[in-house]
Amino acid sequence: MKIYIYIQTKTPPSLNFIFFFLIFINTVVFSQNEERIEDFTDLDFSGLINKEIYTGSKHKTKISEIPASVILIERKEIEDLGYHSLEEILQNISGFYMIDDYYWLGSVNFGVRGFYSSGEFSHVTILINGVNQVGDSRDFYPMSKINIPVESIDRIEIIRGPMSVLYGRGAFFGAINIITNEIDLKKPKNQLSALIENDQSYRTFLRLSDQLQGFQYSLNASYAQINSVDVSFSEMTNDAVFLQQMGVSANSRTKGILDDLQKHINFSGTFKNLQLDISIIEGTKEVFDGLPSIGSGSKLASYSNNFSLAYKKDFSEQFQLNTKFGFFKHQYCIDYQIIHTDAYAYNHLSSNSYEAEINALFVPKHNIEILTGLHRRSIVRLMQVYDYPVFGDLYSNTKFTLPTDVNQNALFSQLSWQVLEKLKFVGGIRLEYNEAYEMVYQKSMGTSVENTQSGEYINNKIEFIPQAAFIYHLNKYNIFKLLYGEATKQPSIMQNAVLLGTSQVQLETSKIQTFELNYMHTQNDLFLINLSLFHNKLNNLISKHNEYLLNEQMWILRSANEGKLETSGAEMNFQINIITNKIKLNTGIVYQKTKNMEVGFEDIKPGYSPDLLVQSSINYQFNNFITININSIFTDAMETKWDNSPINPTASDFSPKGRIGNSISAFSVTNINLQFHHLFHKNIFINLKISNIFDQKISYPTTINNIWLEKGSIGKGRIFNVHAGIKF
Amino acid sequence: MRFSVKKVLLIFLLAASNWLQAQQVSEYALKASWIAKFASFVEWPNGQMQADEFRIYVIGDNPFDDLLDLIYKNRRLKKRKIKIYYIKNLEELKRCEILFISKSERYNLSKILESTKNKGILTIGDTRGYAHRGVHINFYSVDNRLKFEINEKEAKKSGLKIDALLLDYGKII
Repeated sequence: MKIYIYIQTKTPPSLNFIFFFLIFINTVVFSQNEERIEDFTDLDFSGLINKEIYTGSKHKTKISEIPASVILIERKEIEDLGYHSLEEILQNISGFYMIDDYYWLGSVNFGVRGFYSSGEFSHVTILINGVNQVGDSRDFYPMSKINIPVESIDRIEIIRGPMSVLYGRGAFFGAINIITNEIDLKKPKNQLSALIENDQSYRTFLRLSDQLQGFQYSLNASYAQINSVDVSFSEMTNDAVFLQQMGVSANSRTKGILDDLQKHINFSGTFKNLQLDISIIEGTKEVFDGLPSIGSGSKLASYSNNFSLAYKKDFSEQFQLNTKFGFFKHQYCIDYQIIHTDAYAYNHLSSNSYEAEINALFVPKHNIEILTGLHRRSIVRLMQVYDYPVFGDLYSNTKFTLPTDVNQNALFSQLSWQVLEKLKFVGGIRLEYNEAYEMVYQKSMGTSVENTQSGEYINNKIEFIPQAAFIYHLNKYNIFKLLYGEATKQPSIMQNAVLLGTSQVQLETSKIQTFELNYMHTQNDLFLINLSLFHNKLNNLISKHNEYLLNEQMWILRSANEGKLETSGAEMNFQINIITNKIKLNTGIVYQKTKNMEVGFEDIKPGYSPDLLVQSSINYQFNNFITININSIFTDAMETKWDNSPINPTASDFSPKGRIGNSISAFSVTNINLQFHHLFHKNIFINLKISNIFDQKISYPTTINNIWLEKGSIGKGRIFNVHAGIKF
Repeated sequence: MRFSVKKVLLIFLLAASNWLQAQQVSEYALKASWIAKFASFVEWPNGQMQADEFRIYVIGDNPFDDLLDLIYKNRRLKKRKIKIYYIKNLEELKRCEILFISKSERYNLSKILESTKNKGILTIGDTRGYAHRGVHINFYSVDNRLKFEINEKEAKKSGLKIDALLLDYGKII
């Protein structure tokens, strides 16, 4: 029996044309009377009282007020450093480090404060304009689903520490909120630009935005082709026999089989009390799914549509109500090119979800705020279909479905109390309850080994997630924060799915506790220092084993609660502006030690946990026209995962397999970006950037996603690029 | 689905064109305009006003950008030429008629109010709790409408006389 899937991939060009034409017309019409000064001094009392106001987007919460350790990245910094992608921005954030293992769902992964989540990037919530970008099937944040062009980013808030009380289950290590709808009326609001690299990668970008009498919108669109790293397979594995069996010669290169095509449109509009966010993201990324690709590469097509509508109403100064509704659609489809040209293999995963939240802000006294709310997310019509006849009947025509919806419910409340003029207490709790759901695997349909496995995930426990912070303003320049937080993360649907038909017990919820002391000193934008001492305790971590056994010719898929880690660390960030803001220095240093606390494994250093991370940049503005920026990241040596399964139990060799790959040496990468502003015309800019200027070899440690790359996967070497455009 | 998303977007944009008739105004443009109105309906104690200038100070982060300068350029209040000063620290504060205390100064508010006490300076803010803590007039907003609360008791202590009409429009605390 064959399973046919219909996926709509094209939108009629006429609709696209109308879409852009109308937006253009709106832009032109709205822009006609923007320069006037709003002066209401001649109005009488009732005239002034009855005026409706809109709040400018620049009035945002200061980082000193947030009960967490926070880093802000503004548009200027993104432009100064010539960042190309969200991945590049994140790996320049203190405490973050990137691992690109050519993951089969098209994402890179990030470690945060010494912890790297096994399998996929799932422990930091990513929001765009407040809209959660989670991929529901694995409860993860794949970059292929987000693909946001950096030119559209006005600001990124990176909030570290468990933030589950407000952001929910994904915010194990914090939350990243990307803002694309802030408009500075003093600067050009629109942009048209293009970037090209010497490896023929390119990206085009268009932004249209405006703010007029309360109606504010931003529309960002991009189209990008990112070409793959070009390295020999022999640089990543010594197993020539395996490569040969997989139809690849050791001398073959990755060029043309790890390319990435990205299409992204996002719209954010606010008017009065309404906010609408829509994004349409498509991409085709070439990946390695546990095996090397041949020919033109295994192609992962991804489609992601997000729709969110929010409404805010002030009933009085003491009571404000916020409501939010979202609909999200996400599809993946992989057409494999593996082993030999006639081999057929296919995998499709799709899910729809709805999200609703209502929260109320009460202000019973002028120094007390209580935010309380209800949240519900329903995952509906989740389905995975895969057909790998190349691996035999056992892997053919298999369908995974959820007969029932997956409902996640939460009740949260946060108290913010200004105890004294200089002392603030913020405490919160979140109660999370996941309803039980059924899962069905119809395996090897139409073959002699056809079978159906079904089961139910039941977690009747209501998870209790507390958080507390004391914020002390010694004066306006010195702020201390004492932070305690917990977060939990339930196993994802697909983590539960792989246990169907096995004797393994149901997975439990992962937990983290964080203690942090943060000190911030700021001197009128000239000098900023941010120090943190942190201690994280992680328990019940879900570890995934996903490997192909060549001799048995079968896959082993397994998830288990077997991780227990503790990390202690110190983080220092400082920023100095000298010579009347002509030179700006930024440095972030993190030193951390992660210990394996699992009984019997205390002496085994946890994988993917570098002791030292350094990110630094220097920006020098020669004059109003030319700026030079150099940034550099250092990532310490890393071990890979320890595999404790026996080498060969049938031959009574029960000694553990040990590390799944080689240790990776420390590496540093330096980039230089030369900016020319107002070239030829006042609004034209040109950036010349050299990434990885010293052509350092970037090796990422072997992961379970591509265990055959035992020498590690490799990042791009030196790349030249030109980025030019006009702001208008 | 992608059809529907784009249609919703189009409808939103077109509808927004019509909604613009509703004429919302910038929050800080309106606050800047209110300051002149406050000045017109407040009497300063005899001898406390400067003879030549009507001075408005903004302490802390300036939320107005250049709106105050633009609106009050070449204008007069109480027959005096208006001068706007932006300061970061209390030490820079000199004799003035109005002091706008930015939200960034909420951890220094006691010190600021101590230093303006009995000097005939009308203090204005736009931060929750400011009026309770002694600021004379404090803006707040409810459902996109700007409102203000008045701490009449503290104003009286400073020798300022607030007109009954202004008291009628404000919330007395």
